[in-house]
Amino acid sequence: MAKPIEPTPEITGKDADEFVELTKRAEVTLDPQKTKFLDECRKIYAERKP
Amino acid sequence: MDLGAFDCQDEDLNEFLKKDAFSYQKNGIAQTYVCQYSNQPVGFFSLCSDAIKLSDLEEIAEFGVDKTHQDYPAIKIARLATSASYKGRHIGMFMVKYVIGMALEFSKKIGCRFVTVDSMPNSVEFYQRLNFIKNLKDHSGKMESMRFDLIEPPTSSVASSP
Repeated sequence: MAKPIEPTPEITGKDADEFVELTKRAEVTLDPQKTKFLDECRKIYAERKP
Repeated sequence: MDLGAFDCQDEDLNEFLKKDAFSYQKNGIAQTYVCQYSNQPVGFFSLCSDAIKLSDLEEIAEFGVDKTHQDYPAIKIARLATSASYKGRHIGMFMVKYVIGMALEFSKKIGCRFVTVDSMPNSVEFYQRLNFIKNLKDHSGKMESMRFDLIEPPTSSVASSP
C-alpha cells in the first residue's frame, strides 16, 4: 500500500526565512512563460536531432 | 570536420574535445555533440546521466511535501564550450536549449526530472538566464551545482462557468 504523505512540518526560525526564499525561487518552475521556453527548446532539438 | 581547429581558449576543454571525447564515448562515460557552422566546429557539449539530492526545505518549497525521493534523475551537462571566434553569438545558449529539448524528449521514455550542470563561477549568470537554479545540497568544490526543472508549469487557465 502506498505510504500516505505526511503533513508538512511546521517551519520556524532561520528555516522559515530560507523556506520563503526557496518558495520564491521555485516560482521559476511555475512561471507560465516557462511553457514557451520549453516549446522553444523542443523545437530546436526536433529540427536538428541526429 | 576538423576538430583540431576548435579553440575555446580553455586548454582543458580543447584537449578534451580533441583527445578524450572519443574514449569517453567508447567507454560509456559521456556522449559529446559538436555544433558546426560552415563545416567548422563552433561549440560542443558532453552529456552523462546524473542524480541529485534536494535538501528537505527545497523539497517542501518545490514539491510541497517532505522526503519524496532520495535522488532525482537528471541529465548532466558535463562540459560545454564555444569557439572563441564565435563568442557573443549565443551559441552556448543555443546548445543548452538543445540539451533541454533532448532531455524533454528522453524524459518521455526514461525518468528524468532535471538537467544539471556544475557551473564555473563566472558562468552561473549564464545558466540563471536559462532558468537554472543553484542546488543547495550538491557541491562540487569550486564549481556551482545547478539544475533546470523539466516539469511543465501547471496551466493557469481557469474554467469559466457559463
